[in-house]
Amino acid sequence: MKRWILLLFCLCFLAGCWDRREINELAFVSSAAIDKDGDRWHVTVELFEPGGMQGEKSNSAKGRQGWLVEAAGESIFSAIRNLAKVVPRRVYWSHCQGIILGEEAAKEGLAEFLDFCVRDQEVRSSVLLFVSHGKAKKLVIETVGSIDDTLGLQLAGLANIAKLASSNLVTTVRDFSVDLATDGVSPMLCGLKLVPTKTLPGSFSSKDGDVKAASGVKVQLEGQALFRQTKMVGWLPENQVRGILWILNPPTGAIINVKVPGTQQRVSLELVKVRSNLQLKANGGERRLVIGVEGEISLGGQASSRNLNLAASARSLQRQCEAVIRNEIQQAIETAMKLQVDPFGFGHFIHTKDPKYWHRVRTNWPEKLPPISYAIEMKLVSSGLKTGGPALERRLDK
Amino acid sequence: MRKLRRKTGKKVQFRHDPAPEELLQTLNEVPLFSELEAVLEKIQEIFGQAADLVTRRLKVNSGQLALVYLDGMVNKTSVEKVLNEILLIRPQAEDAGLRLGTDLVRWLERGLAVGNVKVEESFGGVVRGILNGETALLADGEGEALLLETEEFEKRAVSEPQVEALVRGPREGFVENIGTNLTMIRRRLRHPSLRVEKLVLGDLTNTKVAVLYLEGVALEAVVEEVRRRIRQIKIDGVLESNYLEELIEDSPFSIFPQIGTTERPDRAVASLLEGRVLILTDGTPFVLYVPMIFTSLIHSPEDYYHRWHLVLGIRLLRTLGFFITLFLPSVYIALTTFHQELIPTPLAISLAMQREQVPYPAAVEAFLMQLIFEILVEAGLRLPRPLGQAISIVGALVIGEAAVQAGLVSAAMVIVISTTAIAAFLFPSYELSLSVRLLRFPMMLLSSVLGLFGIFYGLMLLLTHLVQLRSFGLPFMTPMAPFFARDQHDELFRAPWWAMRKRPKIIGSSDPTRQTSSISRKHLELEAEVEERKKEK
Repeated sequence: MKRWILLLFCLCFLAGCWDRREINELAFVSSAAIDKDGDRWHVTVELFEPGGMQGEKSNSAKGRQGWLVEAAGESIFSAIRNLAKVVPRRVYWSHCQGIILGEEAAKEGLAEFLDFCVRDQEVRSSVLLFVSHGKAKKLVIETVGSIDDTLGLQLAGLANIAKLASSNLVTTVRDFSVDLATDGVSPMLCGLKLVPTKTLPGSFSSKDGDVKAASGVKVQLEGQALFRQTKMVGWLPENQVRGILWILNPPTGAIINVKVPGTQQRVSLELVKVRSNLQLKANGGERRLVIGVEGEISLGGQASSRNLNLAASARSLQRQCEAVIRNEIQQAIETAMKLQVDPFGFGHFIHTKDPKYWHRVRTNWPEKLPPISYAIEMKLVSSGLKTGGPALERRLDK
Repeated sequence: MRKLRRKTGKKVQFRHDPAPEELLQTLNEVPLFSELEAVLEKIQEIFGQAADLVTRRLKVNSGQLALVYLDGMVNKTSVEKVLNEILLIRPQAEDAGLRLGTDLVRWLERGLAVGNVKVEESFGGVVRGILNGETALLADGEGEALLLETEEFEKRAVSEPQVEALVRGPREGFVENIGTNLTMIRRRLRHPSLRVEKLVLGDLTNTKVAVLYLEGVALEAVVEEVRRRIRQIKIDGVLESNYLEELIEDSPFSIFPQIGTTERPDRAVASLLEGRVLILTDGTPFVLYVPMIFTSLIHSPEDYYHRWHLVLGIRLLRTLGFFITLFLPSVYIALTTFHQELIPTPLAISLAMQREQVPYPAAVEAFLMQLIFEILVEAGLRLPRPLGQAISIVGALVIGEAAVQAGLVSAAMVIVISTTAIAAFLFPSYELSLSVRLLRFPMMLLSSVLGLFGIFYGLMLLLTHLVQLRSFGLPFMTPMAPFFARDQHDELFRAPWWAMRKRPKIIGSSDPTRQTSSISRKHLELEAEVEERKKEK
């Protein structure tokens, strides 16, 4: 017992608060932008500003609350360490929400950056990764505030909610590394773009009650950056991203716009339930890839006055919907083929199903992609809370 | 002392001979003289001519008698009744021709209107009797004395227990008088198997102590162990049951109490029914029960008086309270100074913001706040009641409001400390809350030095200590470690009374069945009968 007490005593005073750092001695990174200029890495970090956030929140046009700092270095690590020349506190990466990579840096290759992220114990593997259109630094510096305090929080929020728009797939360091390590998958990252908003209404000023036009630009998710190994090879345009999503992460809640049968009027359908599956059919030495998507749709809104719940129009809507999905997938595959990448992971799928066949084609992947057929089946299950067309039109008819 | 001796050149007399501790023992060896006057003189000498010692000399036809008692320790009416007997009724009988003489045995056999009478032959016994409030009846030429039970003194009325207050349950609490306490137990346990063993402890205080157990339910080995340990006690005074507790507990250096205390007769009887042994001490309302286990500390008698569903929630809350009060400040320190990555981002930013103006480390801040809080609690206990409220307002304002605004502590720390402070008082046992409050400080030290690693180090140390503790041979952490599935019916949750058929596994092993199965079966049979009758209708 005496020895135990002595040991405890020694422990307390010999260890002496090693590694101790008070929470207010840290500078929390909210988001970071990484660019490469020639052979120098530029790191721009947006730090949470604890003091600044204490201010009156009701103040008009609440701007961004972060503090922006930039540093450069020969390697990414030295650039980050050089931040200490500017920031009077220890730069702390564990709460970093998102890292934005410059398009140039991505095109040059992310090997060094990724290795740093995975090796360093502070940067989490759940950090969101983005590729900016143009310089990443510009994006971090120029964007104005949103309803969130910092760009980092805004990105984290977008990652959660962007699924609804189903035009992006936000990925993390972990996703990227896993894709990179997997045979037959090409990694991809979500794109970010600055959008000028000249007539943007800001927030209401509490003092005079009028609307202030906030000048400046905002960030927006835009497109998907496709990679071959660690090098970015090109963009998948925004309207094709859903083609990948149908296979990788079927977007429940996606809206598909089709025409009311027999008219040119639009009707939007909401996907209530959707599931996809891949199949590899063998026929002698030949293989055929079958992409299956099945789901349930519900009527979201229409412009005509017809009652679309009738069996005949339902069938037409379903067929149109299936065609749209098929078209989207085809377009995405086309773009990917052009760039010689496979973000769908077809190669990985074939590897698991038919390893022998995979070893025959892997050297020329993804050129040797087998012919693809589609099995898409959608079912109209609900017309929402009403059956007829817009009430307004019916009233006009009278 | 050696110096003193050298200076004066002779041995300095420090000791009185015989020492007060041994006086009664010595007097036990001295038989009563046969001459009355000599006896009275000797008693006067022993008491040092005490002012409250009453010596009443009586003369009856056939000889001389004397009553000796301590004023204020006896019931005046009883003494007067005896005097009446001796001075008025006896002479009439003697006048009628009866020759009673001063033979005390004959007095004892036929003639004193007093309940309990003892015969004593030594000075020790007589003096002890007088000190206990008995009246000594001495006769000339006898060499023995009668001790008449006339004891009565002022005592506090039975009132509601202060520390173990309940919402539902008996409102009666033990008092300082051991006799009253015994009665309260007897009244609740009307069974001849209740064994009461009385003894006197403390060489100077001569405090009455009683050991109670249920014959056939309590383990004979435990009862014997209690007797053995109590018999070994050698102390000058016993003013409170804690004197005994510290002298007989298994691990005197442990911070956890290994002997239960209660001021509730209902809880005392419940422990008897489970097979435990009670130790009553005169002069205190706190009764000891052994063996005790850790879970008794977080069980309240009220758990058995409320409906059983609710007890689960209440006990879970107390268990949670144990961990909160022990670990919350240390976890806060560890997270804010070592493991900032474990805090959710918005909270981390908000904590950093609050700590922005605090000049010293979180550990210092926590120690400071904790210290201030403990000061407030202790001061609140000692303060005269009218002042208490004023102080608590000052405390609340100073700690809660001003300290934060002055930038001395962060608001989060105030929340942490006050939650911790309140959680400590969730336990029904004040002893446990004291131990945990004390343990919190080493925990905070460990966490401020080693972070979460330190907390787990402390927790391991604590658990190791807890599982090796014994209370009169019973493992302290039963029925968790060692684990007894059977005892789980009264552990974190309480089974309804009709399902609690067994006594605790080890301590109740001499009579394991609390309800015979036939009773429970009868309960079911009755239900079946009711069902049948319904069908018939």
